[in-house]
Amino acid sequence: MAYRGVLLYLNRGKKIHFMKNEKPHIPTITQPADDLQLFLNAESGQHFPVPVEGSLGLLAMGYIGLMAWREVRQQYSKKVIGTYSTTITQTRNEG
Amino acid sequence: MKGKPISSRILLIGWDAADWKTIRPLMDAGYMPTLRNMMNNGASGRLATLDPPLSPILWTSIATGKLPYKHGIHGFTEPKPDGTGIRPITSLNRKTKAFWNILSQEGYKVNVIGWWPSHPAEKINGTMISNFYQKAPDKNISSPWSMMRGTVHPEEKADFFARLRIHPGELTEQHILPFVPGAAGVNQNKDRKLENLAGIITECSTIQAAATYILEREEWDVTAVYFDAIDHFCHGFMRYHPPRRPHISAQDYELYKDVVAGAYRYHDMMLERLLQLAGPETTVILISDHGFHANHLRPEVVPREPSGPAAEHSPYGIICMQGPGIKKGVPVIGAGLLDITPTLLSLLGLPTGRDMDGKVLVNVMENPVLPTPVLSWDTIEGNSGMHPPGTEPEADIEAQALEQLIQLGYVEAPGENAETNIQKTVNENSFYLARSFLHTGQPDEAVQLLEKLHESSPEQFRYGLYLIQAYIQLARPKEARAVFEEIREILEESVDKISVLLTEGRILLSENKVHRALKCFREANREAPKRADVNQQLGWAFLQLNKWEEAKTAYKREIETDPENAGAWHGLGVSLLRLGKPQEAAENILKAIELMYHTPVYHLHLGEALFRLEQYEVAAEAFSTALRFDPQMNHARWWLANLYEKNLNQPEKAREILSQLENSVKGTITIVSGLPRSGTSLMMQMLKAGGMEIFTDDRREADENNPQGYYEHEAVKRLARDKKWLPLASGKAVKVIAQLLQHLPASYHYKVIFMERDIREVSDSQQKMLERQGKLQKGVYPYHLQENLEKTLREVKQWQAEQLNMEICIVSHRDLVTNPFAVALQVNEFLKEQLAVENMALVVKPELYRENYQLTNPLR
Repeated sequence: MAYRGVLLYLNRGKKIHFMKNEKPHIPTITQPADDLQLFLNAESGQHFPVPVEGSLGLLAMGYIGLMAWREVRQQYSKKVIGTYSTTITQTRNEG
Repeated sequence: MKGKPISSRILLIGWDAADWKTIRPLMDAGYMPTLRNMMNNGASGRLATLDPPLSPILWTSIATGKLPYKHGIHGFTEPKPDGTGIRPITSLNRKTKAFWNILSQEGYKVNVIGWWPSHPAEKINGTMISNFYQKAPDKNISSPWSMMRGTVHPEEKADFFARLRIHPGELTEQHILPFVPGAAGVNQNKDRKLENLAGIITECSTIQAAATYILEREEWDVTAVYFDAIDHFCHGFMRYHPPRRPHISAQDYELYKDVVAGAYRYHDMMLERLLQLAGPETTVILISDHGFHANHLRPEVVPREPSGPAAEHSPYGIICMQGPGIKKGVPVIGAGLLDITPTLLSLLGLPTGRDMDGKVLVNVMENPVLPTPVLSWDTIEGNSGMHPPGTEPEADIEAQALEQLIQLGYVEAPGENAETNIQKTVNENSFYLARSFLHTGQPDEAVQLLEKLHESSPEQFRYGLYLIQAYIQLARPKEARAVFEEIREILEESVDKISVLLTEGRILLSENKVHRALKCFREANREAPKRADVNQQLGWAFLQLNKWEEAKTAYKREIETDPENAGAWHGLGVSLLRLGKPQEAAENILKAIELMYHTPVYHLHLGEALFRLEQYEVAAEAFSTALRFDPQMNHARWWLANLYEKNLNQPEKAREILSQLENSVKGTITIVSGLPRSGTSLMMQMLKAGGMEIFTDDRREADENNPQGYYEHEAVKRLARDKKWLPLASGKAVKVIAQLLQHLPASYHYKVIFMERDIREVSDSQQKMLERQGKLQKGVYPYHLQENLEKTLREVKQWQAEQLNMEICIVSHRDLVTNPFAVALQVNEFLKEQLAVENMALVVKPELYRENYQLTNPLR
């Protein structure tokens, strides 16, 4: 079983330095247009995935990992709820 | 006042209960690379804890550099001032400045996150987040989760930090499975451990979130962050940690065996992030307040009493330091909790306080320059942020924090009656303070508290047991025995047989019934040969009997059971020293010192071993260290003067030390000594007849072996453990057999009249006396007796010659019998007394001189 948080930890050795000039206190997040998957961008140029189910690695990163995770969850909720609402509406219309 | 700083920035990280015994295998397996790297780049070692090993007390000692009786935090709970019940301990009862107060008033930017106890947050020069910050009210994520006022300073940041708290309900399987891979198989209706686990993960993650924000976003000189999670993980799950023990079910073991390892790995991950944010310009100090038994010393059953879980704690925490000002790759030796604040202040170039009980860890610092200590930081005014007297929390303290303490087993669930709850809390805190007094060599203060506790709650045998210990330390065996008899029944019902045997054995030792004590310890040893402490007690009893070989064996067995038992390493060293093996003795005593540096007697015996090895300069250093820790230890002072005078060719230094000694010497005692049956009783009779005051209780009556009486005192037999009677003997004559002389404290001058008698006559006389008493079969000659007596005599004489506080007058027994008047004159002159020498001479009756070897055994 793959734990992304733990993998993130075990694969490091590549230093994660988040940009000091990030404002507000949310890390730079990249979101591919066609996917829910978000990434935390490190100074090294690496991109770390932020899974919606979270990971220990994100919590170990501290506030920045926590905020990124919560952001992903929020976006995920919006999309899922949006999809769910659309489905309900479509079902009603079809009914 | 300020000196040159060694560090410009310090990050202090607390990991409650972290223990090298668990960490090392994980590091070796590559699971804790951050800590491994930190060790390689800095200094690391053990951090000795204090007793009682209870976290709020210990972390306050860490933050103040002071013992509990000085800082005022004595337990987990405290009574509410309005008398309506109890609440978790707050920072309001702390009566001395913590390092964050000192730094604030000196203008440093200091942040403190989660320290226990730190609620309500103090108005320091930086951010303080109290130890109630991370507690979630219940496990339902939809329940309101307000943060009580006073949790965050400055208050305007409270809303932001409240949002960084993580609720257990947010966690997913991704957070749980690394700790419990088989979590899906847990029936959570019956087994609540996963819920407990989620709570611990979120609490430490919340602290991490706040700490990382502060480190990255705020200006700071010193940041201190405290994680209690390792302690909580261990109390919940260490019982399942490998290797599996027979009483742990295979199913539970399989489910939870990875939790503790996971906890440490997760902390290593968090540590990495903290170090990244702190940057290489920061000096980092990672510490724990105590350890946690991880091997065969894990108790199978935790005592069902307040603070019972502390039985799982081990006496050594960890310390690891790295960064500017810290040497690389060196061991931290002899560090204790009390040393952290003095070291932290010194790294910043600030003076320590003379009223602090710890020391600066100079051995790990590069080019330390220590400013002259101030008398006390408490008397230096400034904006320290400390709560003014009479401050109360603005909001009632959350019941959740109290509930967690109850769940952890540290406090009993409060009953309906507020008054009873308050009394129980007052009693518990008083008990912990008494234990602290006992641990720091203040049994008088401990007795005062424990007597009251025992009287008010005799059913609480814990109080009685510690009272017994205090009485033993104070050499009051009768009181110890009385308390033991009072609680014996309840003790036999409540604790295991071994504990009862060990307690009784210790009391018997204090009563000078060494052989009976040995019987108890041997029985305990038969019942539980691998139990910690049993062999140590055996070793101590053997030392009392001068049975060095047996003592050595017992201490070796104790070390096999618990290699971190400093007392056992010391006992082994002393046994080897007495066996004439100073090299091995020094090696073993050094191991004790490495574990418990602050124990003066370890340094004293190390000094003696080094002296025997003719390492005079290092020996002098060891004696000086002993004196630094115990300025009353005149024994070390005598050794030191002796060394300077005879071995180091520094007579001026010797004179200086001798003059200190003269000022501290409490009086002169005349000692009559020699091997048993060498004429000591006769000399005592002579001194009495001459007009000298004799120290005797007349309990041993005259018999056919000594028709004129023995002139002994029972207290003298307890000399190895009890020296309280010595002031009563000042200015008098006391009979002390040769084997006990080395137990005489250096706080007195001794004029020793040493009786010498033909060794063959002594052994004959001893044998006949035993025959008359029926203790030896007639005609059975104890082989080696003469040899042993000669050896004893040689050792005593060698030892005596090295003692500067002893003047010796050797008296030949034969001369005494054949020419008593001349001997009486000799003794009178030696004592510089005006004794009635004629009366002294008339005491001698040659017809009692029965074992004249030359007359009765001409052919032997």
